[in-house]
Amino acid sequence: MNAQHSEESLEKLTKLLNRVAGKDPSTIRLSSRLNEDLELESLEMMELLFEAEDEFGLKIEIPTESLADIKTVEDMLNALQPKQ
Amino acid sequence: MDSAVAITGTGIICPMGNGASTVWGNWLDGTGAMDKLCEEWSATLKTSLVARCKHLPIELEPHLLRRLDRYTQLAMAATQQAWGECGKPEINPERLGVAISSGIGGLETIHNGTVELEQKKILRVNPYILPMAMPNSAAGQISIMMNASGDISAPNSACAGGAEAITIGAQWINEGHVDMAIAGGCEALINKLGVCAFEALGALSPDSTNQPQPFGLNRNGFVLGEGAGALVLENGQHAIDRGACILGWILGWGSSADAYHLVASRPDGVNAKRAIEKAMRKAGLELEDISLIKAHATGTKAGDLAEARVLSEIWGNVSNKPTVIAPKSEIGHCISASGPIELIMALSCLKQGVAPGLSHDYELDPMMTLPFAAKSRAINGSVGLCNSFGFGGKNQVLIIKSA
Repeated sequence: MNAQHSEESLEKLTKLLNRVAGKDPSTIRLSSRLNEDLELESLEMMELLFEAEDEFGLKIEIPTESLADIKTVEDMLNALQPKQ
Repeated sequence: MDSAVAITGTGIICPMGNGASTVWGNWLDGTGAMDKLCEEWSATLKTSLVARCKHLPIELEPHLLRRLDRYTQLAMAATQQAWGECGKPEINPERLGVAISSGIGGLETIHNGTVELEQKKILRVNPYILPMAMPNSAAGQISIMMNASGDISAPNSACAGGAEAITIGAQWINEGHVDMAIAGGCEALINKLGVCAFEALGALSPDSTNQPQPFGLNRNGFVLGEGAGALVLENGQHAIDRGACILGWILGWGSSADAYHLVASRPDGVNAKRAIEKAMRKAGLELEDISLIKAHATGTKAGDLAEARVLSEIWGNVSNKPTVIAPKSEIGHCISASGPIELIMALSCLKQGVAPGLSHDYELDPMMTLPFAAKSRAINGSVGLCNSFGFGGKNQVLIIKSA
């Protein structure tokens, strides 16, 4: 997926990554890999999704088994896009 | 192996202050620790007093802190304090154990998670709810924080839990299982579910102005407190070899089960008495050797009566009667944390040679026939006995000696 993400969305997710997982905002890029680069554990991934529900005002319906497909910040933003 | 168990560090986070010396000073000054329960949800409750910790000092990054229930934060803060007091020695991690109890665990986390689940109508909850709420979370987090891999235990015996954890730590050292142990208890139940649950049990004092009255003639329940108490226990020789400042000793311990009622003391106190007798035997002491008794005394009708009866039966005919203190009059009932916090307060009494009086006057129940420290009393001796009795029927007794 190559959805265009607004700066606002990226900033929101960056702030969330800092608050939830203590990640340094200056190190977060669209291409950052959640596991390898940002060193998020699986529980942190779940917590991030949980918190994002409030932050992005969405009902997230990502099946748990699909979480493995979210590998980068960009993937995460794609997953947080409102469903048509 | 039968090693002496030294106390080389203490940590207190409690409604009357943080740290043994601050708590001691506030106790002497009669500084009150009670707070008005003024949350909106509490408006229709009968109880209106609680005893909150006013300041929770803890060194941890914010994103890690938010994954800890308050009860675990209290325990970690008390541990950091105790470890600082013992001099932060280098120790083989395999020789350091952790025994930390909580009666309930993260009740507020469970409550908040349930509310959130109901409000959101989405079957997805914060994945940290269980790791935060489980009653051994504090022990686990402290083990990680201290890199302590000797052993871990999180006894769950309600109001006796912290004292049971100290007993486990003392036994580990006594048997040579570890050289040092962090042992204590923690509790944080001053939230909507916690206060309502204790009120439903009829355990809380419904008075809006009265302070807690352990062994008082008109006692009518306890004031719910919160906090954490932690001890650094250490093999006596280990402490001496490293030149540690030894604050005191754990001389003995004894326990029993009431086998009577989940949330009420057995009226004749026969099993509480057995726990006291076991502790005395373990310590190899005579009744006259005890100068101070730190009573469990919560301020409930039946519990205090049973304890007063037992103490009178055991020490009633001793010529040199020990002084009785009931610290819940000052700090409220901190549940699992009460045993360790109050043991440290008792250790201060033995060290200073005085039991501070009550911060508020009340009429004593004549069933308390031993000298009770309603007013400040001198303590002539260095050995004290500490009672902790818990819901579920655990009777846990510890005997301490000031250095």
